[in-house]
Amino acid sequence: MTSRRTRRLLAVPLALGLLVAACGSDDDDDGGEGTTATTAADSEPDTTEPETESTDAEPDTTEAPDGDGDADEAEGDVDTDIEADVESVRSFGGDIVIGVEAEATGLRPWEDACAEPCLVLHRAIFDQLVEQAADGTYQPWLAESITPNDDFTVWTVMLRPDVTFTDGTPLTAQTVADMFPIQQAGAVTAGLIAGAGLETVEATGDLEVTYTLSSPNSAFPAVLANATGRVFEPAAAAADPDGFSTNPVGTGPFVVDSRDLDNETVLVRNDNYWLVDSEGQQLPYLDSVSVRPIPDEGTRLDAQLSGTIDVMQTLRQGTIRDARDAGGDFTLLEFQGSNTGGGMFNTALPPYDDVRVRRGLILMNNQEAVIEALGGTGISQQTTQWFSADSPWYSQAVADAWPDFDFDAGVASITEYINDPARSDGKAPGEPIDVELSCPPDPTLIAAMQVIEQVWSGSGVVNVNLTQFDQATHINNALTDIHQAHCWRWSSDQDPSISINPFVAPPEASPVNFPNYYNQEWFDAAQAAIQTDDFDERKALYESIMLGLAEEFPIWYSGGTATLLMTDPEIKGINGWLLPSGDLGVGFPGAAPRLQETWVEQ
Amino acid sequence: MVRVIATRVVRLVATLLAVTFLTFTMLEFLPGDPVNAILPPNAVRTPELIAQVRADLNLDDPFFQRYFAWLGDALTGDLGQSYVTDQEVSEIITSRLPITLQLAVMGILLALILAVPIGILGAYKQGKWQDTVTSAGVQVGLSVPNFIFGIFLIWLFAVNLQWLPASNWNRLSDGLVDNLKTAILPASALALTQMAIFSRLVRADMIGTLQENYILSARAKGLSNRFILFRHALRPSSLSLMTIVGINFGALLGGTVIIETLFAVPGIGFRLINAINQRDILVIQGITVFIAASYVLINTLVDLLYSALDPRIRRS
Amino acid sequence: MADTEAGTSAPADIPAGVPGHEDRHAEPVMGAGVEAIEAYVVPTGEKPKRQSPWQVFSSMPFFVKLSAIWLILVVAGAIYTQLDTSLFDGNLPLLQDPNLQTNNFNPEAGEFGTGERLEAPSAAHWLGTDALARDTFSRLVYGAWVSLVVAIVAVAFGFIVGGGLGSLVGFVRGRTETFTMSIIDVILAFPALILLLALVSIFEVRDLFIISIVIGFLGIPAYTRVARANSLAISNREFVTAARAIGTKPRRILWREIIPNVVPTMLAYAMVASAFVIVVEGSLSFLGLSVQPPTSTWGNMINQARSDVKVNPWQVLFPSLALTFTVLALNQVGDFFQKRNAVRAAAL
Repeated sequence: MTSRRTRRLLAVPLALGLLVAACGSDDDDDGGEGTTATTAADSEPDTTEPETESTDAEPDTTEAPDGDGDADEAEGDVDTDIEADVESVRSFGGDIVIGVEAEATGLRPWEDACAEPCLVLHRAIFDQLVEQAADGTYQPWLAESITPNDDFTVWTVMLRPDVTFTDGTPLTAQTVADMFPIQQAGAVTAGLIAGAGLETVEATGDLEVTYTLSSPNSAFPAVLANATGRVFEPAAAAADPDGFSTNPVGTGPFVVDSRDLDNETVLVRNDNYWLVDSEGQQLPYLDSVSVRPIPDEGTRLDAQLSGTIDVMQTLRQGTIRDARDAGGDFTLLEFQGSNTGGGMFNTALPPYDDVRVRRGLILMNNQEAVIEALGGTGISQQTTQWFSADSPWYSQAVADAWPDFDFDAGVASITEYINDPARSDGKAPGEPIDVELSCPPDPTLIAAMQVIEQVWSGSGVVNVNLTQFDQATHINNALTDIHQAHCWRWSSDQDPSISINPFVAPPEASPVNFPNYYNQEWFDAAQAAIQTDDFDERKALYESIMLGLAEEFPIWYSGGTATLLMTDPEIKGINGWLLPSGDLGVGFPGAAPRLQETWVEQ
Repeated sequence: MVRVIATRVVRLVATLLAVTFLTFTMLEFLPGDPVNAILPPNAVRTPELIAQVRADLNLDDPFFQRYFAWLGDALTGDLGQSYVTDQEVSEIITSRLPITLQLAVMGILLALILAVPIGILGAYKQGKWQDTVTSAGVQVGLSVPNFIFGIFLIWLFAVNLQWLPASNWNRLSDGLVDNLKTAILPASALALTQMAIFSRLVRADMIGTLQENYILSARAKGLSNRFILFRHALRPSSLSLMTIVGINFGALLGGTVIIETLFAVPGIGFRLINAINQRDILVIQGITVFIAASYVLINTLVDLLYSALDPRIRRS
Repeated sequence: MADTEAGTSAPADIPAGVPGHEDRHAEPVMGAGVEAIEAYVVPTGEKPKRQSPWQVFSSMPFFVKLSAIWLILVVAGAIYTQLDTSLFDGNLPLLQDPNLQTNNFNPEAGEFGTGERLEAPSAAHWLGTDALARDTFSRLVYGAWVSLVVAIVAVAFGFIVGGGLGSLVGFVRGRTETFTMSIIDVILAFPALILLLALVSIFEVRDLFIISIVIGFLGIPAYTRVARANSLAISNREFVTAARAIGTKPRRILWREIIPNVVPTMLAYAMVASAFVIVVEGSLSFLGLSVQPPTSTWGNMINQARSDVKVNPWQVLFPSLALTFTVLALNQVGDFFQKRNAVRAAAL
């Protein structure tokens, strides 16, 4: 492979989730120079060759990379940094195939729930008004500027001029305003809009949009960096909402060429994309991207190893381990992130309404063993809060407060409860509590659940019944509050207001307060945190909520959930795309890349 | 014969009605409120929103009213729309069925091509080493779960030899060769179990047939073994074989989901399990009824053929 | 099919064009198959004698013997796991606690175990350990119980109900047949997956017996159709026609002529079906609808080990082999008894 790291890296330490490159035998990659270097904005003017690439045979999807037997490369490149590669010659053209975990049910930002596999498509087709930068802050993307009034209740967005949708319609303030009624009725955005307290969206100029909120929200740009800020062409959406799902119209770097559900969605270059790279060249570089859902983890990895696909996405630690072990010449882009696995207690039900029970069960949860059972040792980290150690929101105080595994203390805590004559579950004093632990029937979750079960059951003070229901039933049980101890995932890399504020809201008003635990102080803290834009102040407020969780224990953690993009070595630029300001973008959180600066090295 | 066909048709219609009704009943029993499956977890579940979803799904109508409304629409060819993807159910079926159909046909054909000679050999050399070896091979085929075999096929042909793609599906419109490249591995994975079943059946049947008088006399006449085996002996054996092929083919239409998931083949079983997970009622309903209908049709045909082939049954 | 040796008359309905059906009868036991059977069978003289199990066993060819031994081992192992562990001061001899994660905190010992997950076979763990560092050999033996119960209950249920129905309607025919087969068609036409999901959901309790019955229920249509096909064929044979002609009661014909002739073929199918059943149980585990973990079954062992197959293929291999050997053995022994019955019938 000629690609062996001729590049020099100008790496920026990743703010959001940096995992030690555990397999860093590959010196010339990770060891390299200048991890302290500046952002990529000051890139050397590299004489860039104009497009040389024809579309015919690149890359060959049936030919495997010739990495077999190259012992030096056996571990691939584990790459956790987000870095801009500014020296390599970026070539135009090329078609890549990405294997993702699941199919996107639809391509309507306002209507179709979109997790990581689906975001690969949404982020290629649509632009958001705001994007996250590598340091976790929010910066304008399709917007040119975004400014609040003094109390954060009115936000004025100036749109970028001369942007057109892929159907030729120009992007104006009125378009964004016209999106709003559709979003208010959308299954996905209705909840987000209500949660953000967004009341009106008005065009106050050709390119000036004014967002009015019912209450202050200093973190409003984060709202415009998710589905609510994903810009679609409202006239097309209103005319044929169902058809829009397969033929979406956005402003993104790619446009849907064909869509065969569960099989293949082909995206081709948007020739009129508004963004240029740091050399002033028209983006995107790629001719086409084909996205194929491959639900089976083993098959997806095999498809990558055999060259059937060029990029593989996985959200499973066991697959990350296998990818590291697989050998061959591949680039491994790992991302730790702030998403954590775990579960919750339905605190509305006895015995989970008693903190002694919750604390006891959590003290007897051995995170290390759970991670090990998931194959995540050396890949995922233990978690104590909603933020990974690299997040700016991470709090050492919370990490210290969250209890370590302590079996005896756990037994003592529950024993205190069961010997209490006034115990809430109505059983006779001394009888063990009944706990129903439920996870969806995924083999890894079943394994995790059994790890917890062994210790809980072995305590002698807990009768554990394991149940598994399919995903739909599992979620349904949580929504209808018949869940008990329930597997769940917490947090995201977005602004804490997005995930924490609805979580601590009163359960009757907020369906996502799944544990049904309400604490006025937490709620007040969350509200206060969106009334100031002072980072330290906000951090302190969210820290207080995290500290509260470590006292009241409505939820438990079972370890971080690392993700991976595994790519052929000649595919570049996934981890180092730039914002219009020249700052480094957030990279590939949750293994959902932005592809406008991805190219295939010649 | 006309009467036979007429009764068949009546039965077919009755069966289909029963299936539609049963599907409806079963869906009532599936745990989980479809509204919760359809709305994203973070959606604000206002009473109006829930009411709207329920109205869209006609969930508030009485059971029989819903059933007959659906049935009426279905008779005019309108199977409704997916609530999740907004596709027409009939469109889902027409885009997915050919894929599963192709897998099933290829799987069965592959199985038959291997199974008939193996079964005959086993019967003819009953108890000899050829029989022992083939029987053992067949048993192994029978007891290896097909997804394990599938994983093995991927490992061998995609990862190691790199002859074939590991996953994905190329539609026939992409060209026959490309299509076959993606179809051959999943079809082989399906064929293994079928091959084992068929060859056992051929062998067991053939052992019986070989003792029939007419075979013995054919033998006595000095007809060649091959002639006797393939011309005379196979024919009656083909009856039970046809029954099982019919049954299994029908079962494959709805039962390829694990293989389809493993190889990321967008067939109808794959779509069905997604629909179940999403509680996409009309899609479940439409696909179930459609699979059932194809199944009943195929088996009606088999039965008719059966009568045509076996004069003993035809006459009675 | 063993009736032809009686040689009383030519079959009534030989397909047209089959040469030689009116030729003189060859000697009854000329077929290769029959010779082979004779080789297996202890000469029984005029009438079959009761044989002791040991005599039966010693009459088996080598591979059938091996198979029988394997099955006995599996059944014995399965039953062994049901013994009360308190008799043995904790674990059964030779076995370890199948659910003990030896790398996790062990509450009874009050300390962390030193086990390794996904170990290769060793002296301490004969077949290695699984993803939770549990002893695979013990899980395999405990899993045999589930497979055994499922196989026996499900197959027996399907066999008795389906086989009975099929034999009956193939013989009686008429409206009964039409009606029964219509119902069977409905069940059969229903995608098995939906039926399984619905049935298991309705019962809610993931009890081994209920799971077995549900799986058995799914098998009924296939048994019925196979039994009916055979029953149809046999009902048209000369000896049945003859029995009818001399005024034998239909019930007697059914019991004496039809069912005994249907059963052997059915048995061959039941053996095949038992393999299916065990695999179906695995598929149910796959969908999270079988017995609850941590109970081990061969099916869920395979499914759980699958995610680690690249690290440790042993863990998929061993339960798969156990499955394969068991099915193989079932078939060998089943075939043996089928042939034995056939020869007996011939001798009658």
